[in-house]
Amino acid sequence: MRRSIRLTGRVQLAVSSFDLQLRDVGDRQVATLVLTDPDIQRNFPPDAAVRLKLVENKRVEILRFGTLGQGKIDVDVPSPRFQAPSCQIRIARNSAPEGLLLGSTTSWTYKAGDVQDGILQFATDDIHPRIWKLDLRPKEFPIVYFDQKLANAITWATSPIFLAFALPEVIREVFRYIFRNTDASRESEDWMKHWIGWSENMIPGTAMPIGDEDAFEDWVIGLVDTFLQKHDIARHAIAELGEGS
Amino acid sequence: MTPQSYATLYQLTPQGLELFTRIMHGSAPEESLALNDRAFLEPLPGTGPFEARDYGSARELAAAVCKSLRERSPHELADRTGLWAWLTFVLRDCLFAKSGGIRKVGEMHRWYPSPPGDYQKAQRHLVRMPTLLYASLAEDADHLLLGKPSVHGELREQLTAQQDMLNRNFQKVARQLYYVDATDSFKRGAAGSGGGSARRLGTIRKQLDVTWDMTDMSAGQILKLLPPEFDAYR
Repeated sequence: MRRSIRLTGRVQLAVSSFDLQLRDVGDRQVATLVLTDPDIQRNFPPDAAVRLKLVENKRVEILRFGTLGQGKIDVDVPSPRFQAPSCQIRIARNSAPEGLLLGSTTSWTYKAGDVQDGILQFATDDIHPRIWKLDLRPKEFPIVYFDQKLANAITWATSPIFLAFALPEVIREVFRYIFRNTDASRESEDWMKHWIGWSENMIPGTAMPIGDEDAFEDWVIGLVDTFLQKHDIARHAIAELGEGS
Repeated sequence: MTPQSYATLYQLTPQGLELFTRIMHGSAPEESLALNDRAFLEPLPGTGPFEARDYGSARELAAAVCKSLRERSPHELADRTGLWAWLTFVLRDCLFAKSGGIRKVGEMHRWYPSPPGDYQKAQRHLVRMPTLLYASLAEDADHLLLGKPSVHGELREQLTAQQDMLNRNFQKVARQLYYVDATDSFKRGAAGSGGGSARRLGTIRKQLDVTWDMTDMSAGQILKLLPPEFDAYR
């Protein structure tokens, strides 16, 4: 029989035990944290502190949600606002030994509820003054954000205008990132394998060059052109925008 | 380098970025990126004058960039690849001085800003990372911004490698351990791999993080948790 022994006393908390929302309230961003697992309140002392750690773009903020016995639900997020931060919830002792970690979740990346899945994900957010923006991270599928002020923002993901004017640049940037982070000595991240798989379906038998920048640039231009051709994207865009003389 | 003044900060356009990349790879001449051609660059609204010159330290450079950014937050602009690339280009003689007529630019992440969410590479950019550190930590980043802007440095690499290290209290601890105010320098051995070094501090921080919530502890509290191998630096 196997027994697992915890040497530190820290309890691993499930991310699903908490409901976290980052909302815009006027000019402010507010974090709302609700405990959905009543065992957490039963298993820890009421004076234990509840903290949320947010990390994005080399910036760390700690939000304090009071104690388990006297918790706050809403806490203002210091500006500038976070978009898709890495999050971790930590419950720590407030009495001696102060700071002792009683429980913590793993870190996860916060995504607004409207993220659409796929090898390229789409979401809306306040990205003014830009209308769209590509977010690349080492271990997650790329996300294209549309500015939330755009009417029916998420529907732009399938608009012929976006497909013709922005998507080719998105594809190039994603593959440039993969190219710069790929070498023969290490395995690619899962999401990169999916993108490589997509390119192999698009241009069978033509693998992405590794280590040769010029060969790569030629390859990615060929890939984008094939994609545009296969889906007849220029024709759809012209149909949408109107044909000139 | 010959100092050059600019009325504002600029950002390279996609066309400018492509040319910048080719220049840095050595496949296009530097003169081809004309700094008055709006096809290649555009002013960044809300920013002030900037002087491209030889800066004595990464801290001095970061302070100058922050001053030019005025009210604009470098964190909000962290993903403006065009801005950091423009700064890199106009500062190329400070960051990658020619030697024997040849400019060696080294690893790409030093001059081409990786996506800021890339916690493994983003800290290597020679302009953006010092600027973000200076903006977030001010004097608590002294130990991270020592030395010439062209040198990323072992201490910065070791003490920014983990996301949780970018916490003011943790950096206060590191500053207290390794930085000498009087001489504006590191203590001997800080950049090595022996007991009490910055590399060891990174390892120990990870171990302590499993037991302690250091994110909300003062520098004094964190110092007390460190094992005796750090005594020589206290």
